Amino acid sequence: MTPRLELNFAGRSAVVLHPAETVRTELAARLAALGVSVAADWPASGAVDRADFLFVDVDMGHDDQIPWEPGTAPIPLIGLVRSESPGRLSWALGQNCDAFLSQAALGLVYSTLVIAAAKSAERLRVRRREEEAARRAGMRDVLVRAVLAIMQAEDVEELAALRQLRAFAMVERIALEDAAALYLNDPRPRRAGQPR
Amino acid sequence: MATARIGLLFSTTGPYSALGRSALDGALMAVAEVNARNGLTLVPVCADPRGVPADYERLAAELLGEGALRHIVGGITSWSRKDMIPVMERHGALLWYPCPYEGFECNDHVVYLGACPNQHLVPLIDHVLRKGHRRAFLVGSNYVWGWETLRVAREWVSAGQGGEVTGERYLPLGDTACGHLIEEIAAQQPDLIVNSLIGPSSHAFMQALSRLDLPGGRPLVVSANQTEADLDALGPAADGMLSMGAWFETLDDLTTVAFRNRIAAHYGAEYRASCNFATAYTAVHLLARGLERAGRDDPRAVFAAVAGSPEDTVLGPVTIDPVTRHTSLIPRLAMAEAGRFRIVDDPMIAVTPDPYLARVSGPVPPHATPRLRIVS
Repeated sequence: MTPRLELNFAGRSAVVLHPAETVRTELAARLAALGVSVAADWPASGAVDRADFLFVDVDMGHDDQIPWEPGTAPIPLIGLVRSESPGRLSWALGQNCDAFLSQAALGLVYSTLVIAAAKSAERLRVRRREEEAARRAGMRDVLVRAVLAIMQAEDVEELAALRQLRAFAMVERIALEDAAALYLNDPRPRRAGQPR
Repeated sequence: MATARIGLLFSTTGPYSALGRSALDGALMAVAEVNARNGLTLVPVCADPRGVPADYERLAAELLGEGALRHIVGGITSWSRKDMIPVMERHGALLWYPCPYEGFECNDHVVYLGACPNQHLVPLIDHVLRKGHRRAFLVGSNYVWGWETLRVAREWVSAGQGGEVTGERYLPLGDTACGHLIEEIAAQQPDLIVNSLIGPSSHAFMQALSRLDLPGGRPLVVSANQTEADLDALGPAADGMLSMGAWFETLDDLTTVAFRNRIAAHYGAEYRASCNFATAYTAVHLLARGLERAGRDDPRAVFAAVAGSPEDTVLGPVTIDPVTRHTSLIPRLAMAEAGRFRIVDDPMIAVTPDPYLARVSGPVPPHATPRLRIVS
């Protein structure tokens, strides 16, 4: 299913890390028209942690202003492009900006918010999926032990034991590895058709 | 400044010429009024893109090319406005756009004098949902106006209690072959049709719809772009259609009565003015005020001179927002009856433009929660 686009940002807040007051003022006015308030600006502020969007000047922005590991922004991150120096573009790409907005085209801030929100959501979804895959990969031994325990308790072969465990996981709406841990923790008889 | 050349770029021939002629008439009448005051003299330079999208860009470039003028009043369709914007940007010029449009744009080289969705489609759909209409069929011209207005209609109808969109169809701009739409409507039997068709497409559709004999009667047709300029071509087929607009010639406030008298004196008692006429007229008057106050034709100075504070116009007191560059307008609801629009609701209060629908309490999207988990 295609995720629904987020189109309305009223009530959100943004931090604008840009040294030029004219850019900050103009961007703040355009964001206000979209119902987005500017919580803080240059040089840096603890408010970054609490903002819904972060705009950062690609020319002057630096890692110390951003309270997370480069590339792992927990909120939509938007690079404000001014000059086009390769070193700075490299820094911005390292930050994994979700969208870019040319400072000569601040009138396009709405589409930038839509794109950044969608890309950030996708980026965070992929990261969560990767973390979940890593967590489950770390539980392979639990899975093996649960299958062996079911084989022994039920006197079935490994594929049948695995099928039973999978059915249990689907009913409980949990991952297979979590179902394995649950079974090992409490192998008492369960409902019909479930690992007993 | 004593004299200023302004461009008037409307398609007075081609597929939506009735709308273009109406807007041009309004603009030219305002030019005549400004010039009659013996102050600023406006010199209109007219061009007709004939409804051909590429011609808007070419003609706008020709008008601005020599630097002889820096302001254009014009454009009917969003397609034409979007084609002209890059030219306006390159020349540092200003486009005074006088038509309702679908919103989601704030360009620094445009003044948006027509209504955006929170001033037309959203209150229109809210109105018909309150009246109990639930099953909607959506039709529109196949470009951004149709796409975006019907997207808003779809979201608003679907979010309403029991609301359902039974179909959504598009016709190419200028296309009049709409038999398949009528067949589908006959099969679906909706109780509401949202019509975002333009010009001849709308006329053909409405004519065909009027010949359709449905057991439950004809569905209510609503539109945010049908004006008096369409009524002649629509004839009795328009009867019962609800239209939302910033101006109708049948308004009975003192400003409109006086305006109507001036129109009759200028174009004859039989002349039919439309929302496009009144808005293009307003555009020229506001442009003239800006030129006079700024004392020069620099677009930034002219815009600053008219934005941010209330201006008396034939549309009522309006304010152009200096940030979004859109205009506060009164959304008026009217029903077509016997070749005229009968005013159904005139709220008398202007609605602040919200081109990105950031401030309306919009439909709450149904949030899908996965009910099953596939375990792998």
